[in-house]
Amino acid sequence: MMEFLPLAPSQFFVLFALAEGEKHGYRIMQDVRALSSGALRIGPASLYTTIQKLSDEGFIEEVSRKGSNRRRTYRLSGSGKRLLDAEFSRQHEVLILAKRKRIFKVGGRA
Amino acid sequence: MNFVLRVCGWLFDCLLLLHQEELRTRYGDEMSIVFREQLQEALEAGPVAVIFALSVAGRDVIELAANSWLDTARLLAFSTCAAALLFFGVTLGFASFDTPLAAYACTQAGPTFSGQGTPAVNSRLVPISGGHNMFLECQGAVDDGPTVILATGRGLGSYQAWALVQTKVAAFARVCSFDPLGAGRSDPVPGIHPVAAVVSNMHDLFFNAGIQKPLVLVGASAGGILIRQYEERYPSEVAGFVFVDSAHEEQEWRDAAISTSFDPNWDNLQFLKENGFLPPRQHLHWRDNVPLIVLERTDLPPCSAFPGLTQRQCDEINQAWHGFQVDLSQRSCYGQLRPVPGSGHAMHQQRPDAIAQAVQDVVNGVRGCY
Repeated sequence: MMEFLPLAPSQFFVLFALAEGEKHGYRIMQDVRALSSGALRIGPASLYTTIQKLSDEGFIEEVSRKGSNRRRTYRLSGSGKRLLDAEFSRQHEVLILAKRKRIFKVGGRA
Repeated sequence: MNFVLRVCGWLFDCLLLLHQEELRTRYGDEMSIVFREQLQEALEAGPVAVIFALSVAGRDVIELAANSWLDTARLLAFSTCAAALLFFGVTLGFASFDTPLAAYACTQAGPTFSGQGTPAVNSRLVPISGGHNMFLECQGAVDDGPTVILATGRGLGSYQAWALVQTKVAAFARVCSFDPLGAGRSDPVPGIHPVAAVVSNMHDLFFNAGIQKPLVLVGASAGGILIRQYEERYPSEVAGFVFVDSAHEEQEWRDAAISTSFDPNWDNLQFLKENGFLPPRQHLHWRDNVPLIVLERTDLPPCSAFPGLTQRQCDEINQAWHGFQVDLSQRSCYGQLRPVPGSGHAMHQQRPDAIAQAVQDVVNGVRGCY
């Protein structure tokens, strides 16, 4: 999985939002904003460009649509879960390094 | 309020036209719905939120569509220059339309520049065993040459990931791509799809769709393992390979020997089997003397992005990846290794031209053999 890392912020947060379960587009958009503490605000076109890329590469999958609901929902695929795990451990290592160098204090800001 | 909603929605739908056609056809409806939901919420929060939502949508257009605008501008400039040259050439007597040679040259050159000569796309659902259907899209003229298969299922997820490569390859060969079960327009079959199952499905699909053999298989990333294992099961069908920055069967245990920090599954035998990796310390014994090209990325993320690895480990992992590409290229006496400048792992998006060139060279090699 290392060959796909580091992930672009929009890809990372879309995967992150889907880690909690299946979601539809608008919910993903809201959660991306919440998870990034408002730092990353993406519009519908950026959101679906990211969704398109992630699903073309098999990291997320569309859940089959039931009934007449036009809204599609998305979920992580097995390889999507592994990709997100790999990115989390990479970020974890970054944090450990920052703490070891005393650039980032434990439990506080730099 | 309703009026504002309608006007903004209309504005957004106009903005949508500036985005890529593929994005529009796949997600256009949903993008409109999401925007309207966002706007509805913003209206309740006040006018500032509405302006904000509009500005984010506007920023998207600039960021995403700028590239294609540049292309459009280039195309316009090119055609204006060409028209001007022809006009002045004709008026000044340097060029004329009445000689058959000139007319022939024009019709020949036309399609190469505009892409209008590309034969029609043929896409359909093909029934395979187990009562499932798989989506297949083929393009390019049927001749007596090999059929190029852009493989997905392990590696890239859906046939659309290959779109840029497919249109280029269709200019010189019959080329097909497909959605594996559980992705895109194929039947939604949940769960894990082990390599062996994907190989069987591919074989069913090609047989039932009447795809002409032999095949030239193209696989990216984990798709490299998929196409190699396809050859192992159905050796008589495969006449050539293009590996696009491919994974390698010995990769998991070789990388784990350097650092186990990236894949905790490296010694999980079931995981290894499902993904086509060899168990620890087992070696790949495969050889196939057919035209074979390995394309390798040249852009690597900096080692500073992986502080879990020491500089030495990071170099060793990169060196191991390079070793995998070298090894694959030596599995055929006709094998070639090509480093691709300006490309990372996502070569199908960054350098589709380099992939198409490699496919063309392999196809030419195969045509020479049959």
